[in-house]
Amino acid sequence: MGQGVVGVRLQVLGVVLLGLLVSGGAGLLMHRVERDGAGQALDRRAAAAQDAVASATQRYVDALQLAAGALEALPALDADAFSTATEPLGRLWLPGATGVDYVVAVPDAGIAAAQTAWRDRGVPELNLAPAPGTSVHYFAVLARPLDVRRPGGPGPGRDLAATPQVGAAVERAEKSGLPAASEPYVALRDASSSADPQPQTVALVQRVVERRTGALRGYLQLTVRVQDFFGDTMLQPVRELLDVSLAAYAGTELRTIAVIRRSSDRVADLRRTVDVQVADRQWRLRVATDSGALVGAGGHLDEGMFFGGAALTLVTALLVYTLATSRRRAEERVEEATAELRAAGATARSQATLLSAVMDTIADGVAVIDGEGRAAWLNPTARAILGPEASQAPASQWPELLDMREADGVTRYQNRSPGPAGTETLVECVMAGRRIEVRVRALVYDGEAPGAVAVMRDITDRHAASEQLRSSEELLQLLLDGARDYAIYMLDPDGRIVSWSVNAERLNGYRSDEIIGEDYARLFTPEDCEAGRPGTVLRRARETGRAEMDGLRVRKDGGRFWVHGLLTAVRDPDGSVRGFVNVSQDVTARKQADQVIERLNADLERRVAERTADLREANAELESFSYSVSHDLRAPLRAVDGFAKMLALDHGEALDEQGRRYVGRIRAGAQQMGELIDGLLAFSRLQRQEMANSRVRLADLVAEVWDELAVERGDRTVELVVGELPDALGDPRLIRHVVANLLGNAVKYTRDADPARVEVGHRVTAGGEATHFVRDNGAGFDMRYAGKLFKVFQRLHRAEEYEGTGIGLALAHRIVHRHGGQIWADAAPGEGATFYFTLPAYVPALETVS
Amino acid sequence: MNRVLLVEDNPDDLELALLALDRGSFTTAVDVARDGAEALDYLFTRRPEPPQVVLLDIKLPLVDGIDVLRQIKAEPRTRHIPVVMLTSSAQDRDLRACYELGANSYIVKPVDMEQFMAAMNNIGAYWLGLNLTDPRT
Repeated sequence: MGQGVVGVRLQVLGVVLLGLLVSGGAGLLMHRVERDGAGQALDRRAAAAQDAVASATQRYVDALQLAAGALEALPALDADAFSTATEPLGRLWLPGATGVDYVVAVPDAGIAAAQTAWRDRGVPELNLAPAPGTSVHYFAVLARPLDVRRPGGPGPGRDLAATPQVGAAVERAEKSGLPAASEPYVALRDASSSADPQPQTVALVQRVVERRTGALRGYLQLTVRVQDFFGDTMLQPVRELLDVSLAAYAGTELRTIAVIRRSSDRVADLRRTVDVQVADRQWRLRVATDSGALVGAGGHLDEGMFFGGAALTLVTALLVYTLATSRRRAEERVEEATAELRAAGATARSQATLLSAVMDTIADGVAVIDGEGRAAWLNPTARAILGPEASQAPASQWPELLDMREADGVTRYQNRSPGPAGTETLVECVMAGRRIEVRVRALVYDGEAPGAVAVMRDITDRHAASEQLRSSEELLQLLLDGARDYAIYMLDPDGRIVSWSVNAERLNGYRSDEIIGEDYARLFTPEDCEAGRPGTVLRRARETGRAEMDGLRVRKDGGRFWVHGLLTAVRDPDGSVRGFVNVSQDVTARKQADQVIERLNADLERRVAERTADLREANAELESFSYSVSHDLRAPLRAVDGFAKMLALDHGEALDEQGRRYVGRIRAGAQQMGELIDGLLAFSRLQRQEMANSRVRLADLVAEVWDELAVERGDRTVELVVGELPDALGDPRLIRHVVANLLGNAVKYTRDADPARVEVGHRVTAGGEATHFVRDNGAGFDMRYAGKLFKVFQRLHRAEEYEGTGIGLALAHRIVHRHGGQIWADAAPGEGATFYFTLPAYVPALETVS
Repeated sequence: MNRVLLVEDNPDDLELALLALDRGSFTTAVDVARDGAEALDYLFTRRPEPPQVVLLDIKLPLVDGIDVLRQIKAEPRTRHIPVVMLTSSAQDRDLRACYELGANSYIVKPVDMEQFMAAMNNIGAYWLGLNLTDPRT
């Protein structure tokens, strides 16, 4: 032991000597090493503080963006929606956050309307207070206070433009679409604070857009009192730091916005400055400490030279001390790490809460797919899009289960690998009849195996709407192109031309740049304009919705053409007339054709009138002729017959037998001629006579005529056989002539037959037409001469055998023909004759009484 | 004494009519006018004893028979005198006009002299036999 003590002593002495020697030499060196060590320690502290500020501010920015995203996902924005979307912010640990506001930009003119609109959206107390000196106001219309320590705070209605720093941030946020941080400012609630310096506030601003259209809705503002935020954030990293401060640029001045200062008599001899990125701005973090405060910095080794062995002991003690403190420091490190971990856990938990709130509400489906193709996680919308079956199955089976096809709806969707981590693929596909846009982002999942996040958005409606729009546009274009003969243009409510089609140019001659903006009256003729027609047509279209117009128009080159046009009023949903659509057609060719037809018709009518007049004249002449015939020709006949009679009466004795016979022949000739004249007159009158069209009862007619023929029959016995006779349609008076003539002939020509027999009847022919007949067993005639039978004055028997004028059958023939019928005969000499005739059958419905 | 005014321009017809009247079964005095104007002059200007019947041909020179008929039937003093129209033709048009104007009878002069004589006899028997008088007297 003594040896050991000696050894120790020796050693100590050696150590002391060596130590003195080394210490003496190394004292200065040691001093410099210590200072370097402190500097490195401070560097680490500064980096930790920088990380802490950066990650903390990033958390605020994330919170702001998530809340903005939630607002965007909502179909309509009102107080309730805002409350729901920002509710998770209240649960997050966001020290220093004083409030979150939904902000809208409103021009001067729109303040009253905006106030009414937002009062209707659940902010009944809203009073918009515009800041002076600016034309665009940023009103916070919805507000949620977040500062639990200082409840209250400004309510909605204030104009952020009153704070230029915030106004500038709002404008940057709008331009970039990214979160913007304002320059520091003193919030109204802190203006009266006695603290020095006054608490500074920074606003974080994110714009809010309409998810489907991308149109700007408003902004979300998160206000943060920086000192509060900083104090909390710096709790851990600044334990060994004397002085920490945060500064931001206000204009060109670097202004301190938060400070943590330890009350200590130590003097800071080491300083560091680092920058921190906060949203779109940089803040400056300054840390300062004294080197002695930092672990690992002794500070007095260099002085130990003065204390010899004590110095050795001190060196040893210092070594022991160093060992002890290093253990304690390790423990502290563990503690620190544990606390950090705990804090990170809390942060992660609150972020997860927010994330799940957002995931539950957004309209997009989100699926997390692990490296083996399993759907590790699905949000409710994703489950709804995929359906229960696919939700359970691996993502690799989705294409088959969902009958997924490419965007064309035909090609089968091939499973694609997500690609290297970080890349994003956008595919559009059709699943189960819905059109889904899928954004796949490959990521590193669980550290190693590749996975992906798929965001699915149902774009069926949007796609259908755009398809519909495209097809209706195509249809319209097709119509416009197809309507080559139609000039189509639009007018504003005052009749000025606002659009002009190619076909309108072709028809009217004006190019669109020459005519757009002009009054459409320019297309009318000066005469029409003077008569006020353009205005009349416009008024009628306005009042009744449409106005047709026919008339002349003037081309650019002065040429005129006929149009047929239709002016249709186009109305806004509120019923006011937005304008008119004109569709007109060049009808010059048709008009010319019409004019030709009109001319031809007029000509035709004139000629018909002339012919009618001629005919009337001819008829009148014929009538006066027949009048003359009947009157003037009969007068001499009467004289012949009259004086012959008187000759016979008064001078009969003076004449011999021969003379008396001559007188008789004179009288017979005169009377025969009288009958001929009467027959001719009847015949010619028939042609002019109007015909009745009524029921003719042939059976009755036959009976009546037979009675009248009693005189002709005399004392002869003639048997009449009447079969069935259907009624006919025609003029009873004329048909009576036919029946009388045929029956009269039958009686006349059976004069020498015994027994005499006349048969009347009908038979139905193949065509269903009734043929009437009158048959006798009299003299008959030779069919060789049948052609002469129905001609005027043609006779088949000598006058001395059978008297007659040769007019009766001609008359019957003409009457039957005028009824549209036929008459013919069948006979043989000495074997009688049969006369056939057809007449229209009487059908009760056809009867007209004339 | 029966008196008849016969208005006839055709000399043959006039003579035959006179013969027929003469051979009739009644006795009568016949005054003759050779045209319408003379008939009107006889009836309204010369005004002998009014005839019991006027036999009036339609087709007359100067003033035709239908005009003469109209004036006889329009004038209260002559309205009651029976007028028998004589014509050569059976024109519906003339027939209707005569009856509408108040003609009392209408005869189509037949070619057959025996028929004519019978017609004249019937006229005399009918109109003269009734011995019509002026209703105003």
